[in-house]
Amino acid sequence: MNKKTVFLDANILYSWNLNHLIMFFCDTGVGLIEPYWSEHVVEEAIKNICKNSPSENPENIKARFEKMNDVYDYANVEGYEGIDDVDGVDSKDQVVAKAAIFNECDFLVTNNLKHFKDAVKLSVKPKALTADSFLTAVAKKYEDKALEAVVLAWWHRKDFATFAFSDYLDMLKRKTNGQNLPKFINKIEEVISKKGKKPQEIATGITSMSNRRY
Amino acid sequence: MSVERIVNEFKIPTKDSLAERKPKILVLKKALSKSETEFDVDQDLLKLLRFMVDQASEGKKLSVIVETDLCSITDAAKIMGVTRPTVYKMIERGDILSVDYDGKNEVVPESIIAFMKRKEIAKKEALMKLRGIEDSLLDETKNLAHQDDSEEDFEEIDF
Repeated sequence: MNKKTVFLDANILYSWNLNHLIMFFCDTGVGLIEPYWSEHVVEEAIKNICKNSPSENPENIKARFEKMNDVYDYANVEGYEGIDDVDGVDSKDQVVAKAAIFNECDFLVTNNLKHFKDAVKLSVKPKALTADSFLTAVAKKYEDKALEAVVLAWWHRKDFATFAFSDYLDMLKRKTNGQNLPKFINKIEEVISKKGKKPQEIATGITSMSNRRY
Repeated sequence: MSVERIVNEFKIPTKDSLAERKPKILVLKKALSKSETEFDVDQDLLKLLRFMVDQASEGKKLSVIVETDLCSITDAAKIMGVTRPTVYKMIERGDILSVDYDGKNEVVPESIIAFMKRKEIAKKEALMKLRGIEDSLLDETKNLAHQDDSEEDFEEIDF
């Protein structure tokens, strides 16, 4: 199993649901990816969360990102500021592209793909992808592990006992959720149907073998 | 026992003394088992010794390179599933050990294994640390991030 290194853009970190799911693809879950971000993208994510959710206490939001930095103590990319500008990348996204390139990441996951289309997307490393495409690619390669990651992400929700696994899949899939993952969830549903069991049965089977829930 | 020590302790037979190659090898094997510090000579080592004897008997030069058991920064990154700059950071922080070998920075594999074991043990603790983030999941009612509609051929992604 070849773990991939992934730089997460601010718009990925912005969504806690997506963030939470991705963390279960990392070492805290099935260990398929190694996440990276930078102070800049974290700040941008915090700024946007505060702007769009004024009821949230900014200190609490910061504290959550501090926890993530604490858990993934090598995730924060530094020292990229001095490198040359990347051609074809929007000026405000230069810092994102630079950090991902400097850190030699395999992928840059962003939902603002068009800002990188002419540059990073065409280069060998990192390849820029949306969260949906990236996770779909992971699921195509590692079907069972991807399914396990989704189940673990659902299982670690506070409301998992009252929130059916199929509803969780639906939530990740639907367009109204902002960071929707239609292709990825279709793939996961395909994996589930291959097993000939109901989603909830699959989820129960996986969680019964795991001792990871905190 | 290292190959280097074997070469030092047991003189490589000369061409003259190796008129008949096979019996001489057996003699060497016996000599090894009769030494003060008893050790077994496995088949691989015996093959290597035979090769060395052949080379010497033909008057060819023989170079003995000590196996370093070190790995490059790139290999260390692949093993741990992180980027190369992360490996340098790990060295800087003292999480893994490196040595200057032949002008290159090489990583001591044992330190990688130890680091990965520590990380595995810390997994549970890491999940505990992430606790609290889940509270936010329930509150996330809207998300204004832009979804890019551009088509991608993710079939071609080499993951």
